[in-house]
Amino acid sequence: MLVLILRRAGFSLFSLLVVSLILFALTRSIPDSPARIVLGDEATEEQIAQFEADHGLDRPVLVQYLAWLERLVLHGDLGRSFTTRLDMNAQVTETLPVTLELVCIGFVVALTISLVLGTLSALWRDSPVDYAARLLAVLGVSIPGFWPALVLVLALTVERDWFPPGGFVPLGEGLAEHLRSIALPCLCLSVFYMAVLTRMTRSSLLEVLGQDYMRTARAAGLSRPRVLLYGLRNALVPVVTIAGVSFGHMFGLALIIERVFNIGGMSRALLTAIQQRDYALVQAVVMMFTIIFVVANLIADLLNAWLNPRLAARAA
Amino acid sequence: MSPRDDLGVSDMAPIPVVGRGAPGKPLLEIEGLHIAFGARDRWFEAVRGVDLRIHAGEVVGVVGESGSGKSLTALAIMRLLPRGARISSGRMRFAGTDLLALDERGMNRLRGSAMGMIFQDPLTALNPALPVGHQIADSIRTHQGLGRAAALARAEALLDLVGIARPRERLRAFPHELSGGMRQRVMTALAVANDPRLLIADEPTTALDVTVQAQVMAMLDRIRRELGIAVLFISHNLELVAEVCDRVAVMYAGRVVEGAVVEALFEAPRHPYTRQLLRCIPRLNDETGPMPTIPGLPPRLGAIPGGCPFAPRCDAAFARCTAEAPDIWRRGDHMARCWEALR
Ligand SMILES: Nc1ncnc2c1ncn2[C@@H]1O[C@H](COP(=O)(O)OP(=O)(O)OP(=O)(O)O)[C@@H](O)[C@H]1O
Ligand code: SF4
Ligand SMILES: [Mg+2]
Repeated sequence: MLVLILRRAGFSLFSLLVVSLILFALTRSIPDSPARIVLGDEATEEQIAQFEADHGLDRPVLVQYLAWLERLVLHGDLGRSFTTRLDMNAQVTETLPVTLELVCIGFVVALTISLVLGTLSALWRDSPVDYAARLLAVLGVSIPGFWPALVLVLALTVERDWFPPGGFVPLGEGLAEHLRSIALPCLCLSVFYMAVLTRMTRSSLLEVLGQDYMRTARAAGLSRPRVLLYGLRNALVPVVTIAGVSFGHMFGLALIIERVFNIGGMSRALLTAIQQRDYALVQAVVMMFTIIFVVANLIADLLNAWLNPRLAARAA
Repeated sequence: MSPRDDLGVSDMAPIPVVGRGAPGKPLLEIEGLHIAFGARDRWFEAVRGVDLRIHAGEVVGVVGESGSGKSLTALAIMRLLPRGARISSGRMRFAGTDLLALDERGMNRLRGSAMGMIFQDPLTALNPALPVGHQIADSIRTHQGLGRAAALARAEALLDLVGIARPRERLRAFPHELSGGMRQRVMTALAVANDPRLLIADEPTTALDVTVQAQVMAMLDRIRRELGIAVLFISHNLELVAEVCDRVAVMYAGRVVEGAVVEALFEAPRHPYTRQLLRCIPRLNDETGPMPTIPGLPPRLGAIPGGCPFAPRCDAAFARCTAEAPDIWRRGDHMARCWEALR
């Protein structure tokens, strides 16, 4: 097991390095030098050369990369934006927690509901619960993520003011208000994933319920809950994989949801960075997303190795 | 503490010797069992009136071609029929209890305790996600209310009983880490974990290599003797049946067509189907030529002909056979459903 964890962690680290290198190379290969963007079109060649020398931009890309990596790994320092001169760590620490909270709550909601609904719908196949779950799954997958968001904003905030139409109330200003401000965004964020994961749980558990070893468990006289546990242990493997990918994926959707609800999370940082051609900040934000994505998948992998040792054995 | 707690043979309670045709009430008694498949308006019967009796400590074999309803009958006893199948009529009594009157909880008290079952394919019949010791211990804890450690200790003794070397280490093994023969031994340990009175073995060796088959069979036979368990042994292999069984039931198209003690069945079979089956036993010294089979196919479900269902393939059939379902010929506890036997 330890070997497995080390192997998987090593692989994750490796993928992070590769992504960061590609990311770095891409942002540095843009024809506009950051100097040109900062100093404007009127700047002279000397001024630009001076700027590049000041910021180490005249060094080979690989050297720049290693310096950047060293700062990031050893000091957790994302560096400073060339354009705004702002400390990017400050920007990220200000906006990331908001997005992270939305995504985490949305994820937990999606996962909990889909596990319960998917399990019930597999156990009570062709019952009203099953039909409801299947309907939700189809609707949730086929409707684009921002659409329920818009409908909910119209129905629950504009028509009647149950929820604020947008904006983010920090936790410091009261728990109730805070929750009210994030309830709809989280719900919108979770619908699609709820649908995907419900469907996955249902089909996976249905398949497992037909397996010989489930009959063996019943032939051994095990209680229903324990038989179900036996089944879930096997059925959850694909669900965990998809959930791992979903978690990373949700950050993408969160960017849209944040715009719709006017919440100042990572979307604000990223969009401002793109508009201002602040490539260093874009790089920092994308790097954060990549780290989250890779870590989520690592956790999913390890969870699966625990759920189903045969997978682990095959990988080792 | 029961005397069998450590599963040692020496201090076991003496097993009442129950011979063939033993007097007294049978342990399991099945009468007129019908099992139907289908939904709403389309029903067909796969088992059409099976009678079967097993006394304590007795080994009863069930043979018959694929699809004759052997597995369904076995599963019906455990009330574990597949989705879509149901017992449409019949009576089943086990140790004085009406099995069909029990609810799910009542059945769960019997399953894995008073009756255990071994399935054909040990690869798929064990949960791939759990160590085998865990699976056995779960069954022990469910039925005996033991703690984790005590249950594992007993699981270890069981693995030893079924002939697995280094049982303590094997407790932690996952099914995929064991060979087919070992898995079937684990299955057996699971099935006998709570001192069953009846063991249902549905083709326990069919999926194994020939050499392993013999070992597993020897192990099963030893254990059922040591523990005094009655066995319902389902098999395609007539030679095996002749070796281990006291009585045999031959099934065809969802019915028992001949039943007798094993010598009578092999030496004086009364049903043409049994005779043809016996002719198909491959001779060990005759390695050339294809294995003889009974020409033709058993009838399809829902299209079972009137009269004797075996008539289209029977080498002794005569006019009456296709006209009327055969009556039962009976002498002592030898029975056959055949007009020719009655002539
Ligand atoms: N789940 C099912 N759905 C529909 N029909 C089934 C199902 N299971 C069994 N049957 C039918 O019931 C009949 C009896 O099946 P059963 O499994 O009892 O046969 P068997 O005698 O055990 O055969 P085998 O030697 O192949 O194991 C077969 O004709 C089969 O087609
Ligand atoms: S009843 Fe007739 S057809 Fe059926 S087995 Fe006997 S002889 Fe053959
Ligand atoms: Mg079968």
